[in-house]
Amino acid sequence: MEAMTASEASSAQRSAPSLTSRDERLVRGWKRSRRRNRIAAIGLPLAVAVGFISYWQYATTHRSNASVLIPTFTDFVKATWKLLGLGDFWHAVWISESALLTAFGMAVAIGIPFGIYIGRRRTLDALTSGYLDIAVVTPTAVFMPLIIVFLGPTYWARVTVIFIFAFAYIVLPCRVASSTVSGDLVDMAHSYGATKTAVWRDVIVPASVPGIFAGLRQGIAHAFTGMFLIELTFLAVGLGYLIVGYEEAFDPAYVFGVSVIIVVQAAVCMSLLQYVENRLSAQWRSGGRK
Amino acid sequence: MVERDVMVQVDQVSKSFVKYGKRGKVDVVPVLREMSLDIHRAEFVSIVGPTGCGKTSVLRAIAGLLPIDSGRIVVDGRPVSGPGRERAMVFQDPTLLPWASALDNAAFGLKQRGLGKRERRARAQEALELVGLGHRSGALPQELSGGMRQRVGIARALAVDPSVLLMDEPFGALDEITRRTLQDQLVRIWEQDKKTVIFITHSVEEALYLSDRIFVMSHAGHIIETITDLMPRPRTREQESSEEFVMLRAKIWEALS
Repeated sequence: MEAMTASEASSAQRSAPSLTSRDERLVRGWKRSRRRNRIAAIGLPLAVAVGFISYWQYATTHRSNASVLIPTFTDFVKATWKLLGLGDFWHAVWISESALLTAFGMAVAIGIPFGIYIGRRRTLDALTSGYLDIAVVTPTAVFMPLIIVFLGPTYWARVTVIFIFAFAYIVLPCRVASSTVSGDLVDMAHSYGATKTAVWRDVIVPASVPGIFAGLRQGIAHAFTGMFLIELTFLAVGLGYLIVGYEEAFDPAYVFGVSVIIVVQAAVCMSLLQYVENRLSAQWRSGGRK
Repeated sequence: MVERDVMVQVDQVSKSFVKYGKRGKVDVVPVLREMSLDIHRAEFVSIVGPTGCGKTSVLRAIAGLLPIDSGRIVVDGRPVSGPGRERAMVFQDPTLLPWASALDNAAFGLKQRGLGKRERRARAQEALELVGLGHRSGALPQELSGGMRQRVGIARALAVDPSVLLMDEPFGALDEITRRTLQDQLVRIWEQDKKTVIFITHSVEEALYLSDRIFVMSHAGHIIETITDLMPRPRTREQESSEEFVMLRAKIWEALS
């Protein structure tokens, strides 16, 4: 009996180091694969950007048929840098984005509660779903001339256009999220004596958070589109006016500069929303624990 | 007149559902037909029956979640017209809030009853300790196993200290080992504070192990047999192979068939 125990012990001693080294190999492999993935996640987009910029610079400086409407990359960088120091540029940003903020704020303030509410009310949902679907499938730009006719070339005309562009995209995900809240969860809440308000507060609204953020992200993207469209077509003010002005003056580097700054700004907005969503979702998931 | 020790009285209760049948025809499907049963204070009763016989419907009606067409339900001397503080339900699915911790889920009923945060957390923690999950109070539902989630659901019901615990096939979706562990835990908890328990199950063995009385339901939506004189407590798993257990099981199966 003792001999067997000793043999088992020695066998365990023999097998232990080989197990450890296998584990170490596994850990090393796992770390290597993670490092590779990280490098790929940052390196590949960076390589694509560097390749694109290099070709841009080469094509606009060395090729004989280079277009006069496309600036070189270096000219574009210089123009963008100069723009950032111009008071007129920041004034245009304020004109455009004050309308964007007002309209988006209104779309959020009305769209989120409206979307969540209609998702839980069958009659109201049936009443509004057709119009919301039309708002999504119809190019919203067709309403722009009508709005200008009704409201004139005013600040509120721009606000209305941007609002219309964003509203349906905020409402629809909220509506879907609240309509798919599990009936069992609602029943559970009722069985513990939750009032109607408590069911909304403690079950339906928290369960709709992913839909709310999906709506916010889609809404801001469409709000930017609306802002640009109205300023480039019917109401040349703010950034739209700046772009049209530089275009007419054959200053493509500045046209590119303004456009890219807006694109970057929209991307930053989306990233910020994503960041807030991640933070809030983590807190939501952790039940509000610090 | 309700007897003094009768905790739950279901008296001639009927319930039908209206639904669209074939070719757009409207069908009326009766699920409960003049069903009656009395459950005594501190009694553990089970209702067994085939799928679709109305077991869950009668439990939801007692919980106040399902309005009845006729008859009456009285709990602790008061007619049921909706959910009430003296009742708490454990669902077949744990129905936990996915964004809330086990502790916050267990405290849900207490929050609805207006208790302060500190008190409800203390009571919820106590309930979690009772079901053996005190050490996982900070875990989210997705971090828990199926059995643990169901125990959080039971803790949520126990935390509000109800007089009547309504359990709708709570162990139905669990594996046999977890199921047996939870059955033992439930018996231990019930023996501690002797709540009135109405337990819905498909499993004849589970009903025999847990209950003081067993109501057998038929597809016709009423009780066809009440099994009393079950094995004395405390019960052991070894009794499941005893002659008495086998005979009782045969008797229930006979009623069911």
